[in-house]
Amino acid sequence: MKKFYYVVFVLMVSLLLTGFSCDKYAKAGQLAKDFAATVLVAQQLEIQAYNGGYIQPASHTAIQTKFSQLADAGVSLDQAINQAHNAQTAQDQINAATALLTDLSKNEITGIKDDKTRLGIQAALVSVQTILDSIAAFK
Amino acid sequence: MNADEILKLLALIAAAEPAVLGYIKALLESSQGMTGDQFLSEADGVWAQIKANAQQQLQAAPASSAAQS
Repeated sequence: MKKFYYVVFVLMVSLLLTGFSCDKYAKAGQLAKDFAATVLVAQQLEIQAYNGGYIQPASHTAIQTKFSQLADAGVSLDQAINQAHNAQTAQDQINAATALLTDLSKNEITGIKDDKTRLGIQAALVSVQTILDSIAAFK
Repeated sequence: MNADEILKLLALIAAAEPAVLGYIKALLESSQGMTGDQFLSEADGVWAQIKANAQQQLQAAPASSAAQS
């Protein structure tokens, strides 16, 4: 379980490293990449916890369904950033991703009975939301 | 996350292994000089990986759990 916290630590420091690009398009792209990478880490945490027996099959299925939907929303966000060469016209895509993250944090994740597992995944999702907020603020 | 949980997390962060710092350095270096297109291309690759992982997990999940979700 300590690995969970190491991953969370890396995620938080990664947040501090975002914003090194001066170019607005590169900056938006970098945030989009960080967003995707952090979701991937959260998904891997969940899969590991499920394989370790910490998550019930029903919760696992519901959570992975959300990750799949989040991947679709992420691709749409990337397309919006690519078309405008910034994040100014991506508000709809940001809202869609935020709604999925909120659902994951407030509904699906609460179905995990193991406290440490739930906390670890929740912390990863907070990091994901923080990056998404950065994209929303970077306009 | 309540205050106790945050304090616990901060204590663990303070005790993190030096290897983690190496990972962060590599992360920083790998992103230097990249263009917006390159970042988005990488992001799309990650989303494809997430989608594939999810599909794999959903196909492997017991039928009873799929029915419940």
